[in-house]
Amino acid sequence: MSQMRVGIMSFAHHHAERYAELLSSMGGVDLVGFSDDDADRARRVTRQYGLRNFGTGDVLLEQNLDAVIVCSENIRHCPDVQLAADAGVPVLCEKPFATAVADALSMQERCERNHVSLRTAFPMRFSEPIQRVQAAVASGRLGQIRFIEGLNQGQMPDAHRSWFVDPSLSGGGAITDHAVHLLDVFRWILDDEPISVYAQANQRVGDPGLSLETCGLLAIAFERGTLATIDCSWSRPACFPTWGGLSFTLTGTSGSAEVDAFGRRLSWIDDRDRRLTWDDWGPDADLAMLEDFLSVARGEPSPVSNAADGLRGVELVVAAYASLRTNRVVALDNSIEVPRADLGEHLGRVGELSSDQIVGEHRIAGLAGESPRAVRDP
Amino acid sequence: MLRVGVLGGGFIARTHLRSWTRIGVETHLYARRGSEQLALDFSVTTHPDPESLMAAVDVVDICLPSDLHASHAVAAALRGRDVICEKPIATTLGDATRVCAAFRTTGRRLLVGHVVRYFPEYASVREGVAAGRIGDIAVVHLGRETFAPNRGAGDWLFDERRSGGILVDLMIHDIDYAQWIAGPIIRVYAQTARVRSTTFDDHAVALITHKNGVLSHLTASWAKERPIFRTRIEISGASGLVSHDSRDSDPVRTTPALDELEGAEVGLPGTAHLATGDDPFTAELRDFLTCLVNGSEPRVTSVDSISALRAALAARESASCGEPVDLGSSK
Repeated sequence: MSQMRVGIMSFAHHHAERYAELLSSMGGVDLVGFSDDDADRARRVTRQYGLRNFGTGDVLLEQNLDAVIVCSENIRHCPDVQLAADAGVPVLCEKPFATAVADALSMQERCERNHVSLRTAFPMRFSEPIQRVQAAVASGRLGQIRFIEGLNQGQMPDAHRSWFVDPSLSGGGAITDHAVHLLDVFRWILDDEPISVYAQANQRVGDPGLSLETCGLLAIAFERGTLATIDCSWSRPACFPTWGGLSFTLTGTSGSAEVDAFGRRLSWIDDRDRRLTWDDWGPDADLAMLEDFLSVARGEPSPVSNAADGLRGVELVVAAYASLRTNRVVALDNSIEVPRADLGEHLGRVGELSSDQIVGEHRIAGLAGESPRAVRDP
Repeated sequence: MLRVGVLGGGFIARTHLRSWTRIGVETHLYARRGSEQLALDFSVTTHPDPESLMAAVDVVDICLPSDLHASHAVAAALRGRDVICEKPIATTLGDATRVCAAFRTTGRRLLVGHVVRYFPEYASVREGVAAGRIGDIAVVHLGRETFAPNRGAGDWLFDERRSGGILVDLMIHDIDYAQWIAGPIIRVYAQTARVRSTTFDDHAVALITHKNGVLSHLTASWAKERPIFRTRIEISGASGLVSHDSRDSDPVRTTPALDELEGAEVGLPGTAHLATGDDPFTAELRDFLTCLVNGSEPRVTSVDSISALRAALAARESASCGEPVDLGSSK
């Protein structure tokens, strides 16, 4: 089999570095290069990974790529994915998929129109512990899941990437950054859709001068009666032994489960840098996700996730911000259909929307014959 | 020697009697049921009715079902007695208000047994947080998960009209702790459900917003397997983090388990059974007695107990209507 030519659009998101490491060591992959509009960052990437810098996304996309990964700042996901779609290159997009529902829909629509595979980076569907608990729930052994208590906390991200705390680039704070992984995991495990969200947030960690939320608690009600709560705060201290974590407890009518996606932990103490460090020695979910993306890019079907799950995340985040403004529960629309199985080429068939469709307080123009108007959260 | 009269014959009455024996007071007891066994296990003077007990003591210690707290507290105050009362102070705000009025008018003192403030790990966390060890508090997680007490289906505890349900009986411990840690509560969103029980809600979750913006996530459960009683604390702040999990805190683990709780009717956290020094109930009752004698304020006041009840009742309202409830608007 010939090598797959892969590119990375922007190293704004730090996950790009992990992808670069993984792709560089994968057989059958030629990591052709990257694009980045930050010259300093681009120089560092070239120095560190030996990657060729093509400057801009459109030049990168001219390099006969078989697949591209978008790791730009959140609000740039939409134009970058559209560029990839127009170039006919299958694309994996970092989360959050987009910062506005209209953007998410236009990304999907553009990829569908160009027959281009579009995936969202949700590695937790490839997490071996989470796959195991998904199977346990599906088997019925835990009964009906009535409550889920979820934790996906991280450190303040401005230590490594300042755009995370600039709302004009990130679209929002901790809720934007950390709510969507667990939402996607819960949707998958429960095989159910969220119908409402209540959110509360504060800015009590991080620089007092920031203008976005740094801590958040969400309560998400699902259609069949589960209540899931998520702590998505940037509340791990700077000297925490690791970046954060993802764990949850399922309370079911016949049993319960406690899951720690990074529970295979080694503790290292190094007196030279005076640190305790936790390393996860479990199988690499990012690697499994990349392998799955590349096989989708080759046209092979995948049973795992699809870009419409990214859209659900965006809808939730938008509704969560509406809840912050009103301090009330906000209903989720769910009228946009999310196909249950991903058939590879066929992604998130969006269907017609009426011109006054409202999702999470954001008006979305009908797709038929009209380009969607991008609506931003204030 | 001070004379203390315990009203009640159940599990908590037994726990209090054990403490009063350790503290060393003259103990009296009235119980509709169960007084014979308690009289055998403890050195107490039993009484045929509450009035007889109240006449014979200085302090009345109410260990009755929750819906009986208010009437007996008021009766004791009118009888000229100071009162120690198990949580909750009452099961309705109306009753709580009546209780407060009675103690205000009579000048007697009321101390409500929110004992979690006297658990050493909880007190120590609070002390460290107040001293700034984690900076400004941001997010609080509290969990209290155990099995449903081994009682008949008709028991008062499982009758929400009598006990207030899981939010007023169990979660109220952590509601009080959250307000002690993070200050006044302005908004509550809660949900309860039947998980293992088919007749009563045995699991609850609450999202609490404090006036200063701190967010608290509380879990309370009667849906665990016996003999589990797990308590958890995690508090993150601007410059640090503190956590405790009772599951990881047992200094002695034996196989087979030597835990005397194996056959217990009701769970108590493992740290409740400190053999040397004061167990939390003894520490609490000792502090209450000292405050009654000195006229000083204890670690938890009756005002605290009312705001805890108000928040617990708001949680119940939220669970039934499916929306958050703002405090300040509720009377």
